[in-house]
Amino acid sequence: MSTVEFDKKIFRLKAVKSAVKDYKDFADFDVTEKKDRIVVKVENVDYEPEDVFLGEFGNYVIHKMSVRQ
Amino acid sequence: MSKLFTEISFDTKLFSADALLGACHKFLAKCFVKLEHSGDGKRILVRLTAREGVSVDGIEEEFRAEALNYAVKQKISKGSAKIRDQIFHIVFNPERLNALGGQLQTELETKVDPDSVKLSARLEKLLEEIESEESLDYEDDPLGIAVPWEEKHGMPGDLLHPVDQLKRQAESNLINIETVKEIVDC
Repeated sequence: MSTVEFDKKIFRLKAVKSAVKDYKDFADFDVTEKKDRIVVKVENVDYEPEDVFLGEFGNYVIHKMSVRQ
Repeated sequence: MSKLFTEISFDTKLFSADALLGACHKFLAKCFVKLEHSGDGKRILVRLTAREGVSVDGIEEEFRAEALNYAVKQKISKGSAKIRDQIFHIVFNPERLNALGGQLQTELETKVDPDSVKLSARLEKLLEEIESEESLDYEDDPLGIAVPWEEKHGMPGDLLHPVDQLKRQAESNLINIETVKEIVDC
């Protein structure tokens, strides 16, 4: 299992959830909120290598945030 | 060997998260981007990890320039937001637009600025012309474009001989009679 964290002062939960929705066919996601972070737990990744997948996911969240602007 | 990642830090007083997100968006194709606040919250850290086959050499300067670009753009956008909103409010509110148009008209009339009055009259004339053109039927031909050349200028057989044309022009003092004589004698 891997974890990707997003700073709540920068990223919105809505953008993260929207990205998770678009990526749900490639892995299992679990989104939780901590004090100042949005934590996304990622399991059963159907993509190799996994670190590239996580990087792509992080980039996609940034894209979602930029589109919102 | 080229570096695989670079970390750049930005002062939150100078660069907003939104401006940095905008800059990050430009680099998504080259790098994997991570963005977070520093522990004290006074700085935003941007970590750029190169994609396969991409080097991050020189990317820091490029990113800083892009961040600055976005920060300035955002500042200008914030500064002109009120004016922009007012313009949109007027444009998308026909009553307000008409009221403003009427107000401008009144101001023009009361101030009697000769240039403005002239311009206004010219515009009205142009509008009338456009309206009158619009009222024409599609078969109307006010410029006589559809009239055949022969009807306008006569059949080629009806045309005067070039010498006769010259003589007629000489009679009307359009050209010198002596010149005509010289040409005719030739």
